[in-house]
Amino acid sequence: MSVRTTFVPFVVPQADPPGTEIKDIKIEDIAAKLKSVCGADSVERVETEHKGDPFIVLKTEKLHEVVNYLRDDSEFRYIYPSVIAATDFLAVEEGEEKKPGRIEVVYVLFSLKNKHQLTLKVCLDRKEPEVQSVADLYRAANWYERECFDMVGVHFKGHPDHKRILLPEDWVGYPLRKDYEFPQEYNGMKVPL
Amino acid sequence: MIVTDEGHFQTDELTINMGPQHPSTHGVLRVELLSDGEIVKGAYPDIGYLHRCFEKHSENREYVQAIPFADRMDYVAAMNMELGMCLAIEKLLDHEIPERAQYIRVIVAELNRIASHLLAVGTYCIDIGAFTPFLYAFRDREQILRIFEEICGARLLYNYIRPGGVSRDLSRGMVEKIREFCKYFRPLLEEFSQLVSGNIIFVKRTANIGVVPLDKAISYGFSGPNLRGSGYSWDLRKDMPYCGYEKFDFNVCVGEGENGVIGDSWNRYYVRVKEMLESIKILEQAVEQIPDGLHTAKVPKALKPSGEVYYATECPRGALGYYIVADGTKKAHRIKAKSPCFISTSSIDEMCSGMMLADVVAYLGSIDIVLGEVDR
Repeated sequence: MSVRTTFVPFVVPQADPPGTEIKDIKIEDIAAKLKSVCGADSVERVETEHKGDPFIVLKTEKLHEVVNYLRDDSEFRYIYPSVIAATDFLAVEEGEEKKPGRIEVVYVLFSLKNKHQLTLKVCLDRKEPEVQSVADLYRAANWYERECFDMVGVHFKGHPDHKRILLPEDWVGYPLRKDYEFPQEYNGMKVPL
Repeated sequence: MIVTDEGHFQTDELTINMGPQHPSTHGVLRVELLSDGEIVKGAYPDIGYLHRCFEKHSENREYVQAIPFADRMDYVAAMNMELGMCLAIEKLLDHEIPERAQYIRVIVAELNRIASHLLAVGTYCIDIGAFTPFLYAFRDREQILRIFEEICGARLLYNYIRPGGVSRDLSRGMVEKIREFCKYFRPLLEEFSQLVSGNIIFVKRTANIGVVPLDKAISYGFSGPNLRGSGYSWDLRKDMPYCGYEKFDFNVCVGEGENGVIGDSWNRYYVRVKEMLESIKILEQAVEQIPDGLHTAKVPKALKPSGEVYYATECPRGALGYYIVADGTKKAHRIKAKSPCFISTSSIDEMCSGMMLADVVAYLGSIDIVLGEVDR
């Protein structure tokens, strides 16, 4: 019997010395750079209107390429993974705005050199949410992505250890989906609510 | 064990379960260890025994009602948990926080940092096999818990920091008590450090054990004392100041490899000890400078923020961040807590492979995980 391997032994980028001041990098500039390097279709849109952090929505197929570029490019060096999280949005059918349902996976990356935090996003189909894994770029992505799968049910292509992490492996459903129904029992035991 | 014809010993691999009820796992963590004799070949952490659905609960409650759940993540540093969450919510709200409230927040956060580090180094000594330092640490931690009891009525889970400020002002004479505590604790910290840090048995058990190279620490997203133990000067209080930390004069402590390699278990332990002294420095400045005024801003009863934010603060165990998606209603659409212990736990497999069985305990204790925060 062998213990399952959980990490991919890839070479990690070298650490940069911490930056001296917080650089004010405009997210539009990053988006323009990405368009010129990774293809014009890699960036779907840039959101800056809302309160909080502005973010770039990427084309799902281009995510791995873009993150790899941002990690290794000497100008950006987003070598520090802050968090990877998934959010479920139900379809809005009533009212003026009709929106289809979607699952957003957000990648918050940090550049220690520039002291800059960057938020990237991909929007996935609710029925078959699938995106390329970045577990071969960041060690931390392994468990973050497992948690996204466990809670929201996002599939990560090429993940080395794709299974549930916090819940038992035979749990049914993804609890952080907005249409999740609480199970009445689990393995014959009543689930307390 | 079988002796082969060539005279070599043929060994067999054995799977050992460490935990979930093992005293040195600091909670309910199970590690599946694959061992060959005394050598660990692989360590597979199994988490989720303490999963209490923080994220699901906070989606179903108003923002203020979700704060007690944040307390219960890292139950030995609850003030820091609340502070991060309130700052993240406030970032979406645009309320001016009164100066006095900011100072009170800094005071309680730093007091709790000392309490948490005392627990961390105290229990670490127990893991290594020294019982007395634990008693010293808990004696001093008790003083802080008494101060907290007087400030907010609770010893462990406070629910004290709220969006807009804190729930009540410091009681009369509290500032004086905190000043006295600083005076009381300084020599005792020195004594503790003399007892443990240079102790030859302690050094032999921890130096050069569980070395985390800096590049890997960053790729894992390590933060707080674990990252600084690897020799990287990174502290959110200094580098991305929040809550008025830029007004205080303190140093960022990094591991210097006094007894071995930079990034080993001893360095991570010693960074915590040095950080307690820095926290005392901040506390002394804060109680001198604390202004009069309101302890909370006037915020509406029902908070209705909107927007998206990821906000991280420096907690005792590292940078704990909240990713909040707010849709303009009373309840959050999504609150995700990024836990520093979660990623420290994920490093166990890589870092423990190849070390001796008994050293796994030394590594586990040095990354200082609290399972309430890993599982949330």
